[in-house]
Amino acid sequence: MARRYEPRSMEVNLTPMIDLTFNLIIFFLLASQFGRSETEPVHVPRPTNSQAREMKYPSKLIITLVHDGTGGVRRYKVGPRLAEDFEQLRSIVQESHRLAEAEGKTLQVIVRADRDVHYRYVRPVLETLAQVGLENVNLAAEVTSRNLGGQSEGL
Amino acid sequence: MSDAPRQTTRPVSLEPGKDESTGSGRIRRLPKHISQPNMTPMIDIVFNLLIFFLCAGNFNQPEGLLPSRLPKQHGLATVGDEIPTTPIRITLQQYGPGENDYAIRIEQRAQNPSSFKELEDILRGLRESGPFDAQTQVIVVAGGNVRWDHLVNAFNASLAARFENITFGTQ
Repeated sequence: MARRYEPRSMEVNLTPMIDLTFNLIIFFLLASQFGRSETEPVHVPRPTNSQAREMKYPSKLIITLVHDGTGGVRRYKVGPRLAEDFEQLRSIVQESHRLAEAEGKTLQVIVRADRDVHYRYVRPVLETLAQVGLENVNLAAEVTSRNLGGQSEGL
Repeated sequence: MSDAPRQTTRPVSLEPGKDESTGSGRIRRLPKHISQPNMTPMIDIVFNLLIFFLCAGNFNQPEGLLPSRLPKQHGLATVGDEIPTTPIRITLQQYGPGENDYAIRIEQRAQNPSSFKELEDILRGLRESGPFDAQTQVIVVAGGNVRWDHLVNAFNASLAARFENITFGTQ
């Protein structure tokens, strides 16, 4: 006699799926953090009654001046690259300027200097930018809460 | 005949293993399968949620930009340069290593601000009542040892006072 199989109620265990979903979310969050590593963490200036706004530019070059703890600069980072000296900084800026012009865009330079860095280390960067012919320079600063979600340019 | 276990109505001691009804101290076996929720998936989810919110949370102060324009092809302005219009020159000096060891001076003004908020108020007053307008050039001049924070603060105060032509200079 043939054996009869009785239909059994099947339950899907959702726990591993939820675990996996959360792990994927965390993975992509971390991956995006690495993607943003171009902006090295520095303590940007904190102005009184800050006028700084969040802005987005289609073509930008971020120059980061990392503090060495004594008022000097540990390293100059131009975009994802490190500049050993001002000649190298100039050549990277010029190259980026040329590429932006070739694409018909205006290169926006963002200077992100630590608030404790002395002006003598920032001044040569500004001079180099002026000599290259870049007029549009943006200074990174902390935003007050009322300025959050401010204007967005160029997009 | 039913296979269901027989139920007893005898009172059972709260102390495990003792049967109160007989008082004989005879060991009575507790049922082997005690129903309890499986905590492992819940702990998994809680930890995942914890990690998720730690990653998603941003502990840094949000950052914005102060747009400025540099003079074309000339580098930074210097105090000795001939400038056709009368600019407002703000001089910053650092006289000590401390964060607040700085002095602000507005050239040709007797009144010197003691804070950047005061600088903003003075500049606004100059623009609204004085001979200056929004297009008047403001030059922030600083020595090499002045903290970048102070320069940006002075720049920000000029912007807040609605001046549009602000640049940095060197001493």
